[in-house]
Amino acid sequence: MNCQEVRKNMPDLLNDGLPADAASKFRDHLLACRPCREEFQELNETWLRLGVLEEEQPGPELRRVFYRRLESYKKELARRQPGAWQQRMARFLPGWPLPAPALRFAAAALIVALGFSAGFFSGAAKKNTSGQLAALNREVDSLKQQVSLSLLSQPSASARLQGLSMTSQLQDPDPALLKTLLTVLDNDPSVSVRLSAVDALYLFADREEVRAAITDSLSRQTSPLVQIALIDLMVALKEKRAAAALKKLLAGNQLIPEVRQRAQSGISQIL
Amino acid sequence: MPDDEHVMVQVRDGRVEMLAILFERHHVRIYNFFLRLTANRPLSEDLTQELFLRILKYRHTYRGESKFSTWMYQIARNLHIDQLRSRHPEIPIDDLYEEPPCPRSCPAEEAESGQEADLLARAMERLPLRKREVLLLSRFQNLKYGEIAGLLACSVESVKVQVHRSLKELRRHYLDLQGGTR
Repeated sequence: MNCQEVRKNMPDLLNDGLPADAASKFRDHLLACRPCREEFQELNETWLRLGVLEEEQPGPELRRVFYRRLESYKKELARRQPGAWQQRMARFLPGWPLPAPALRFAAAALIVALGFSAGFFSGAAKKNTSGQLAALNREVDSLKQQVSLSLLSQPSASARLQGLSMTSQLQDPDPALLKTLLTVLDNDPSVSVRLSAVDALYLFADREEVRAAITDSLSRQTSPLVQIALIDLMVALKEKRAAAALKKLLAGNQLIPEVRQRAQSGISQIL
Repeated sequence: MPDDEHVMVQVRDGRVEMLAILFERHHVRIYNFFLRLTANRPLSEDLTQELFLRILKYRHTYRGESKFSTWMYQIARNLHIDQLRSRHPEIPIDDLYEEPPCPRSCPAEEAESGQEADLLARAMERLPLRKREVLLLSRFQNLKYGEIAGLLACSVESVKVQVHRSLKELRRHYLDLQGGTR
């Protein structure tokens, strides 16, 4: 491999990678050629240094507006397809003309009557089916919990946010997941993730242990944004024990005026 | 978990609510792509929002065999170009991509700031858009050179040359901002 070929291949070694034999020739050349070695070192150093640029989180409004627009789009789509069920029927029953309104009404009545009869005679089967459905729901819930836990342990903040967002779909989170959510609230390095953890925990705030842990967490928070989010949450929950935590917070000297004001107004609303 | 391509095929076929999965997976990275290109947070949020709307609007054009991320970045690039055109209708788009941008801050501000990440972000901003974009796509969006070549409608060799040159120029700006101490 000559100098020109080595220079041409330098970006490959940074990103896509080279086949083993080419990589070996590349390294052999670098060992023998000082200018190429120095040039590659500079490129590699700059490429690696770019890793210090961290991903920035967009504001929460982005997500809210997206979901609002998606809902509008879905509604608009449904509105523009008024005959969707007719199209489906036509696919299943090609060539069957739609009957006159009176006949349609009679057919509908017949279907309803058949439905009632079937329901009456299949009471036992229904119990069985609902049992199976409940088991299936539990399995899905358990699977979602595992995925959430896995995402929450990822190094990427966006993956952890995804994990938090998934917890909102859970009916009955197990203690391990709740413990992880509380750990995220206390220790996650990203403020955005800690803020999302406050939102996620709100859904499970009917549990005594969650309310107690949220109250305790206030004294450990250093970000004013998270402090304000927790104060708002405790006020929304009318958590009486929070008054003591807020007073303790106010006793500290390091509060910014906005947090101090929110804590004072929080105490008056809780008591 | 279903891969992006599988999810996008379902969005294309009418299950538009599945777009939420793609949004959750990609919106932060896309936002950062726009942020590094524009250095403007509100604009980057608008562009990110608009990108997902365009995915809905053009969902029927998605072909299952192409990689979703390549298709998405094609839309993202087009959006950015549209935005540039609307701001500078008098300048040809190629010129906007090649011209070195105006420095964002004054030297006094730069002197105060010594953080590596900050210096590097400023050095990135000094790169012409063309070079900044190719670095963003290869280093931060994890696209292969072949995929970037498809996006930029050029050869893989040309992408590699651009990456090489962009890194060298970035290093020059970085050392310059650092005050030539290294």
